[in-house]
Amino acid sequence: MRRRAFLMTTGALSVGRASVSVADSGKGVQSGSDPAYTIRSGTKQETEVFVKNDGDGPTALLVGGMHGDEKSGYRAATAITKWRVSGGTLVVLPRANQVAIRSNRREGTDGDLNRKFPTGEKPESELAREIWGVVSRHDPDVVLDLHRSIGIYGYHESSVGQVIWPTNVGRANEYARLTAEQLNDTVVPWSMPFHEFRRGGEITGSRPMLVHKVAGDLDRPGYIFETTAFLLDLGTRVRWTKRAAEELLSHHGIERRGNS
Amino acid sequence: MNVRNVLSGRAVWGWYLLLVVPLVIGSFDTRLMTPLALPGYLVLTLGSAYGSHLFPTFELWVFWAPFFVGMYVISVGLAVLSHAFREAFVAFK
Ligand SMILES: [Zn+2]
Repeated sequence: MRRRAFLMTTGALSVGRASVSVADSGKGVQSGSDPAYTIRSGTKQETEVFVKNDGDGPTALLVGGMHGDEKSGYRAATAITKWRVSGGTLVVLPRANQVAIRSNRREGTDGDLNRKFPTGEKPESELAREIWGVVSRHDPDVVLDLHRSIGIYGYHESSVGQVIWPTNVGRANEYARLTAEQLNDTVVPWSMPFHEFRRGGEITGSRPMLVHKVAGDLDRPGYIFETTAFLLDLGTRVRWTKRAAEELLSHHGIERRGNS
Repeated sequence: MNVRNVLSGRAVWGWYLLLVVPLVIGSFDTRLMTPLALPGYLVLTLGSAYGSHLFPTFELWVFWAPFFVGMYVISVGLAVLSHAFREAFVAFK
Protein backbone atom coordinates (compact mmCIF):
# COMPACT_ATOMS: atom_id res chain seq x y z
CA MET A 1 0.00 0.00 0.00
CA ARG A 2 2.71 2.41 1.00
CA ARG A 3 4.70 1.48 -2.07
CA ARG A 4 1.73 2.09 -4.36
CA ALA A 5 1.09 5.46 -2.75
CA PHE A 6 4.75 6.28 -3.32
CA LEU A 7 4.54 5.37 -7.01
CA MET A 8 1.44 7.47 -7.51
CA THR A 9 3.09 10.43 -5.80
CA THR A 10 6.17 10.29 -7.99
CA GLY A 11 3.98 9.91 -11.08
CA ALA A 12 2.10 13.06 -10.16
CA LEU A 13 5.34 14.85 -9.37
CA SER A 14 6.88 14.12 -12.74
CA VAL A 15 3.78 15.43 -14.53
CA GLY A 16 3.99 18.55 -12.38
CA ARG A 17 7.65 18.96 -13.15
CA ALA A 18 7.09 18.77 -16.90
CA SER A 19 4.57 21.59 -16.84
CA VAL A 20 6.69 23.65 -14.45
CA SER A 21 9.71 23.45 -16.71
CA VAL A 22 7.66 24.77 -19.64
CA ALA A 23 6.14 27.59 -17.59
CA ASP A 24 9.44 28.57 -16.00
CA SER A 25 11.71 28.45 -19.01
CA GLY A 26 13.56 31.68 -19.55
CA LYS A 27 14.49 32.27 -15.93
CA GLY A 28 18.04 32.12 -14.59
CA VAL A 29 20.20 29.03 -14.77
CA GLN A 30 19.40 27.89 -11.22
CA SER A 31 15.66 28.42 -11.23
CA GLY A 32 13.44 25.36 -10.94
CA SER A 33 14.58 22.48 -13.01
CA ASP A 34 14.95 23.83 -16.52
CA PRO A 35 17.12 21.69 -18.72
CA ALA A 36 19.98 23.65 -20.23
CA TYR A 37 20.00 21.58 -23.40
CA THR A 38 19.32 18.12 -24.74
CA ILE A 39 21.51 15.51 -26.37
CA ARG A 40 20.50 12.98 -29.03
CA SER A 41 17.73 15.44 -29.91
CA GLY A 42 15.00 14.11 -32.15
CA THR A 43 15.86 10.46 -31.40
CA LYS A 44 14.42 7.96 -28.92
CA GLN A 45 17.54 8.54 -26.83
CA GLU A 46 16.87 12.28 -26.47
CA THR A 47 17.68 13.32 -22.91
CA GLU A 48 18.16 16.50 -20.92
CA VAL A 49 21.22 18.08 -19.37
CA PHE A 50 20.81 20.46 -16.41
CA VAL A 51 23.30 23.10 -15.38
CA LYS A 52 23.37 24.78 -11.95
CA ASN A 53 25.94 27.33 -11.12
CA ASP A 54 26.74 29.84 -8.45
CA GLY A 55 29.96 31.77 -8.56
CA ASP A 56 33.39 30.72 -9.69
CA GLY A 57 34.56 27.32 -8.65
CA PRO A 58 34.96 23.75 -9.71
CA THR A 59 32.65 21.99 -12.12
CA ALA A 60 31.08 18.62 -11.32
CA LEU A 61 29.23 16.31 -13.68
CA LEU A 62 26.70 13.91 -12.17
CA VAL A 63 25.22 11.08 -14.24
CA GLY A 64 22.28 8.78 -13.53
CA GLY A 65 20.43 6.20 -15.57
CA MET A 66 23.37 4.63 -17.39
CA HIS A 67 21.59 1.37 -16.65
CA GLY A 68 17.85 1.59 -17.18
CA ASP A 69 16.83 -0.83 -14.43
CA GLU A 70 18.72 1.05 -11.72
CA LYS A 71 15.93 3.35 -10.57
CA SER A 72 17.66 4.76 -7.51
CA GLY A 73 20.41 6.25 -9.67
CA TYR A 74 18.18 8.16 -12.06
CA ARG A 75 15.63 9.10 -9.39
CA ALA A 76 18.33 10.53 -7.15
CA ALA A 77 19.89 12.35 -10.12
CA THR A 78 16.48 13.74 -11.14
CA ALA A 79 15.95 15.04 -7.60
CA ILE A 80 19.42 16.58 -7.68
CA THR A 81 18.49 18.61 -10.80
CA LYS A 82 16.31 20.62 -8.38
CA TRP A 83 19.11 21.34 -5.94
CA ARG A 84 20.66 24.75 -5.62
CA VAL A 85 24.41 24.77 -5.18
CA SER A 86 27.07 27.25 -4.23
CA GLY A 87 30.74 27.49 -5.01
CA GLY A 88 30.80 26.20 -8.56
CA THR A 89 28.91 24.50 -11.32
CA LEU A 90 26.92 21.28 -11.17
CA VAL A 91 26.02 19.66 -14.47
CA VAL A 92 23.46 16.83 -14.22
CA LEU A 93 22.60 14.24 -16.85
CA PRO A 94 19.91 12.45 -14.83
CA ARG A 95 18.64 9.95 -17.42
CA ALA A 96 21.59 8.96 -19.56
CA ASN A 97 19.95 6.00 -21.26
CA GLN A 98 16.31 6.89 -21.88
CA VAL A 99 15.56 3.82 -24.00
CA ALA A 100 16.83 1.48 -21.27
CA ILE A 101 14.98 3.45 -18.55
CA ARG A 102 11.69 3.30 -20.44
CA SER A 103 11.95 -0.48 -20.81
CA ASN A 104 13.31 -0.89 -17.25
CA ARG A 105 16.25 -2.90 -18.60
CA ARG A 106 19.93 -2.60 -17.94
CA GLU A 107 20.69 -2.23 -21.65
CA GLY A 108 19.28 0.11 -24.27
CA THR A 109 19.34 -0.23 -28.04
CA ASP A 110 23.13 -0.43 -28.32
CA GLY A 111 23.82 -2.84 -25.45
CA ASP A 112 25.41 -1.86 -22.14
CA LEU A 113 25.99 1.90 -22.31
CA ASN A 114 28.61 1.76 -19.56
CA ARG A 115 30.82 -0.49 -21.69
CA LYS A 116 31.10 2.00 -24.56
CA PHE A 117 33.79 4.31 -23.15
CA PRO A 118 37.21 2.81 -23.94
CA THR A 119 40.16 4.86 -22.72
CA GLY A 120 42.18 6.39 -25.53
CA GLU A 121 39.52 5.75 -28.18
CA LYS A 122 36.28 7.24 -29.40
CA PRO A 123 33.20 6.09 -27.45
CA GLU A 124 31.51 3.20 -29.21
CA SER A 125 27.93 4.41 -29.75
CA GLU A 126 26.24 7.63 -30.83
CA LEU A 127 24.78 8.09 -27.32
CA ALA A 128 28.13 7.42 -25.64
CA ARG A 129 29.82 9.92 -27.97
CA GLU A 130 27.27 12.63 -27.12
CA ILE A 131 27.64 11.90 -23.40
CA TRP A 132 31.39 12.24 -23.82
CA GLY A 133 30.58 15.46 -25.66
CA VAL A 134 28.89 16.69 -22.47
CA VAL A 135 32.06 15.82 -20.57
CA SER A 136 34.23 17.68 -23.09
CA ARG A 137 31.93 20.70 -23.21
CA HIS A 138 31.92 21.28 -19.44
CA ASP A 139 35.41 19.92 -18.74
CA PRO A 140 34.39 18.81 -15.20
CA ASP A 141 36.82 18.66 -12.29
CA VAL A 142 34.98 15.63 -10.95
CA VAL A 143 32.47 13.09 -12.31
CA LEU A 144 29.91 11.07 -10.31
CA ASP A 145 28.13 8.09 -11.82
CA LEU A 146 25.20 6.70 -9.79
CA HIS A 147 24.38 2.99 -9.92
CA ARG A 148 22.59 0.18 -8.09
CA SER A 149 23.62 -3.44 -7.52
CA ILE A 150 21.56 -6.53 -6.69
CA GLY A 151 23.69 -7.73 -3.77
CA ILE A 152 26.60 -6.71 -1.58
CA TYR A 153 30.20 -6.66 -2.80
CA GLY A 154 32.30 -9.48 -1.36
CA TYR A 155 29.26 -11.38 -0.10
CA HIS A 156 26.96 -11.92 -3.05
CA GLU A 157 28.39 -13.34 -6.24
CA SER A 158 29.30 -10.70 -8.86
CA SER A 159 27.62 -7.91 -6.89
CA VAL A 160 29.15 -4.51 -6.24
CA GLY A 161 26.66 -2.96 -3.81
CA GLN A 162 27.50 -0.59 -0.96
CA VAL A 163 30.78 0.47 -2.53
CA ILE A 164 32.16 3.82 -3.69
CA TRP A 165 34.83 3.31 -6.34
CA PRO A 166 37.20 6.28 -6.75
CA THR A 167 39.55 6.97 -9.65
CA ASN A 168 43.28 6.81 -8.91
CA VAL A 169 43.51 10.58 -9.23
CA GLY A 170 44.07 13.34 -6.69
CA ARG A 171 42.33 12.79 -3.37
CA ALA A 172 39.42 10.79 -4.77
CA ASN A 173 40.48 7.75 -2.78
CA GLU A 174 40.42 9.65 0.50
CA TYR A 175 37.12 11.36 -0.33
CA ALA A 176 35.52 8.01 -1.14
CA ARG A 177 36.62 6.69 2.25
CA LEU A 178 35.37 9.78 4.10
CA THR A 179 32.03 9.62 2.28
CA ALA A 180 31.61 5.93 3.13
CA GLU A 181 32.34 6.72 6.80
CA GLN A 182 29.89 9.60 6.75
CA LEU A 183 27.13 7.41 5.31
CA ASN A 184 27.84 4.67 7.84
CA ASP A 185 27.68 7.16 10.70
CA THR A 186 24.53 8.90 9.58
CA VAL A 187 22.23 6.67 7.51
CA VAL A 188 23.18 2.99 7.74
CA PRO A 189 21.62 1.41 10.87
CA TRP A 190 24.14 -0.28 13.19
CA SER A 191 21.95 -3.38 13.05
CA MET A 192 22.69 -3.73 9.30
CA PRO A 193 26.47 -4.25 9.49
CA PHE A 194 26.83 -5.85 6.05
CA HIS A 195 25.29 -2.73 4.50
CA GLU A 196 28.10 -0.47 5.66
CA PHE A 197 29.56 1.41 2.71
CA ARG A 198 33.12 0.69 1.70
CA ARG A 199 35.66 2.21 -0.62
CA GLY A 200 36.35 0.10 -3.71
CA GLY A 201 39.68 -0.40 -5.46
CA GLU A 202 40.91 2.49 -7.56
CA ILE A 203 39.57 2.98 -11.08
CA THR A 204 42.41 3.30 -13.55
CA GLY A 205 40.99 3.45 -17.05
CA SER A 206 41.40 -0.27 -17.60
CA ARG A 207 37.73 -0.93 -18.40
CA PRO A 208 35.46 0.75 -20.97
CA MET A 209 33.29 2.62 -18.44
CA LEU A 210 32.59 6.35 -18.27
CA VAL A 211 34.41 6.93 -14.98
CA HIS A 212 37.32 4.76 -16.16
CA LYS A 213 37.63 7.00 -19.21
CA VAL A 214 37.54 10.05 -16.94
CA ALA A 215 40.53 8.55 -15.13
CA GLY A 216 42.34 7.27 -18.21
CA ASP A 217 41.82 10.13 -20.66
CA LEU A 218 41.34 13.15 -18.41
CA ASP A 219 43.21 12.14 -15.27
CA ARG A 220 40.37 13.59 -13.17
CA PRO A 221 38.76 12.49 -9.90
CA GLY A 222 35.59 10.47 -10.42
CA TYR A 223 33.42 8.00 -8.56
CA ILE A 224 31.10 5.14 -9.27
CA PHE A 225 28.51 4.92 -6.50
CA GLU A 226 26.83 1.53 -6.02
CA THR A 227 24.07 0.93 -3.51
CA THR A 228 22.28 -2.41 -3.20
CA ALA A 229 18.70 -3.55 -3.68
CA PHE A 230 19.30 -6.31 -1.11
CA LEU A 231 17.02 -5.51 1.86
CA LEU A 232 16.91 -1.82 0.93
CA ASP A 233 13.68 -0.34 -0.41
CA LEU A 234 13.82 2.07 -3.34
CA GLY A 235 13.12 5.19 -1.27
CA THR A 236 16.04 4.36 1.03
CA ARG A 237 18.37 3.74 -1.90
CA VAL A 238 17.40 7.11 -3.40
CA ARG A 239 17.98 8.90 -0.06
CA TRP A 240 21.35 7.27 0.50
CA THR A 241 22.42 7.98 -3.10
CA LYS A 242 21.52 11.66 -2.73
CA ARG A 243 23.40 11.83 0.56
CA ALA A 244 26.49 10.29 -1.03
CA ALA A 245 26.33 12.77 -3.93
CA GLU A 246 25.97 15.70 -1.54
CA GLU A 247 28.97 14.54 0.49
CA LEU A 248 31.21 13.85 -2.51
CA LEU A 249 30.33 17.18 -4.15
CA SER A 250 31.09 18.94 -0.89
CA HIS A 251 34.57 17.38 -0.77
CA HIS A 252 35.11 18.85 -4.22
CA GLY A 253 34.05 22.33 -3.17
CA ILE A 254 30.45 22.38 -4.36
CA GLU A 255 27.97 22.80 -1.53
CA ARG A 256 24.30 22.08 -1.66
CA ARG A 257 22.45 25.27 -0.74
CA GLY A 258 19.23 25.20 1.29
CA ASN A 259 17.11 22.09 1.29
CA SER A 260 14.76 22.61 -1.62
CA MET B 1 5.78 -32.93 25.09
CA ASN B 2 4.39 -34.83 22.10
CA VAL B 3 5.64 -34.66 18.51
CA ARG B 4 2.86 -32.34 17.43
CA ASN B 5 3.76 -29.90 20.18
CA VAL B 6 7.44 -30.11 19.35
CA LEU B 7 6.84 -29.31 15.67
CA SER B 8 3.98 -26.81 15.82
CA GLY B 9 3.35 -25.78 19.40
CA ARG B 10 2.75 -22.19 20.40
CA ALA B 11 6.39 -21.80 21.41
CA VAL B 12 7.53 -22.77 17.91
CA TRP B 13 5.38 -20.15 16.24
CA GLY B 14 6.28 -17.58 18.84
CA TRP B 15 9.96 -17.99 18.10
CA TYR B 16 9.28 -18.13 14.36
CA LEU B 17 7.38 -14.84 14.29
CA LEU B 18 10.04 -13.19 16.45
CA LEU B 19 12.80 -14.28 14.08
CA VAL B 20 11.05 -13.61 10.77
CA VAL B 21 8.56 -10.75 11.11
CA PRO B 22 10.96 -7.91 12.04
CA LEU B 23 13.12 -8.67 9.00
CA VAL B 24 10.17 -8.96 6.61
CA ILE B 25 8.86 -5.59 7.81
CA GLY B 26 12.32 -4.05 7.51
CA SER B 27 12.72 -5.36 3.98
CA PHE B 28 9.62 -3.46 2.86
CA ASP B 29 10.80 -0.22 4.40
CA THR B 30 14.38 0.04 5.62
CA ARG B 31 13.35 2.74 8.10
CA LEU B 32 11.46 -0.01 9.96
CA MET B 33 14.53 -2.26 10.17
CA THR B 34 14.96 -2.45 13.94
CA PRO B 35 17.62 -4.27 15.98
CA LEU B 36 14.96 -6.96 16.51
CA ALA B 37 15.57 -7.90 12.87
CA LEU B 38 19.25 -8.53 13.49
CA PRO B 39 19.08 -12.36 13.87
CA GLY B 40 17.07 -12.69 10.67
CA TYR B 41 19.31 -10.14 8.97
CA LEU B 42 22.45 -12.12 9.77
CA VAL B 43 20.93 -15.45 8.72
CA LEU B 44 19.47 -14.11 5.44
CA THR B 45 22.57 -12.13 4.46
CA LEU B 46 25.07 -14.89 5.19
CA GLY B 47 22.75 -17.59 3.88
CA SER B 48 22.14 -15.76 0.60
CA ALA B 49 25.85 -14.99 0.31
CA TYR B 50 26.65 -18.69 0.59
CA GLY B 51 23.75 -19.57 -1.70
CA SER B 52 24.87 -17.09 -4.36
CA HIS B 53 28.29 -18.76 -4.47
CA LEU B 54 26.72 -22.20 -4.83
CA PHE B 55 24.15 -21.01 -7.39
CA PRO B 56 25.55 -17.86 -9.01
CA THR B 57 22.81 -17.73 -11.65
CA PHE B 58 19.97 -17.55 -9.11
CA GLU B 59 18.43 -14.21 -8.25
CA LEU B 60 18.90 -13.23 -4.60
CA TRP B 61 15.19 -13.19 -3.69
CA VAL B 62 15.19 -16.96 -4.24
CA PHE B 63 17.10 -17.35 -0.97
CA TRP B 64 14.14 -16.12 1.04
CA ALA B 65 12.70 -19.65 0.63
CA PRO B 66 15.51 -21.52 2.44
CA PHE B 67 15.52 -18.64 4.95
CA PHE B 68 11.86 -19.27 5.89
CA VAL B 69 12.47 -23.02 6.16
CA GLY B 70 15.72 -22.60 8.08
CA MET B 71 14.12 -20.22 10.55
CA TYR B 72 11.38 -22.79 11.18
CA VAL B 73 14.00 -25.43 12.03
CA ILE B 74 15.75 -22.97 14.34
CA SER B 75 12.40 -22.12 15.96
CA VAL B 76 11.73 -25.79 16.71
CA GLY B 77 15.16 -26.01 18.33
CA LEU B 78 14.58 -22.88 20.39
CA ALA B 79 11.14 -24.14 21.48
CA VAL B 80 12.63 -27.43 22.66
CA LEU B 81 15.41 -25.59 24.48
CA SER B 82 13.09 -23.12 26.14
CA HIS B 83 10.77 -25.97 27.18
CA ALA B 84 13.66 -27.94 28.69
CA PHE B 85 14.86 -24.81 30.45
CA ARG B 86 11.43 -24.19 31.96
CA GLU B 87 11.12 -27.83 33.08
CA ALA B 88 14.51 -27.67 34.78
CA PHE B 89 13.57 -24.40 36.45
CA VAL B 90 10.28 -25.85 37.72
CA ALA B 91 12.08 -28.99 38.95
CA PHE B 92 14.36 -26.94 41.19
CA LYS B 93 11.52 -24.95 42.66
ZN1 LIG C 1 24.81 0.15 -13.12
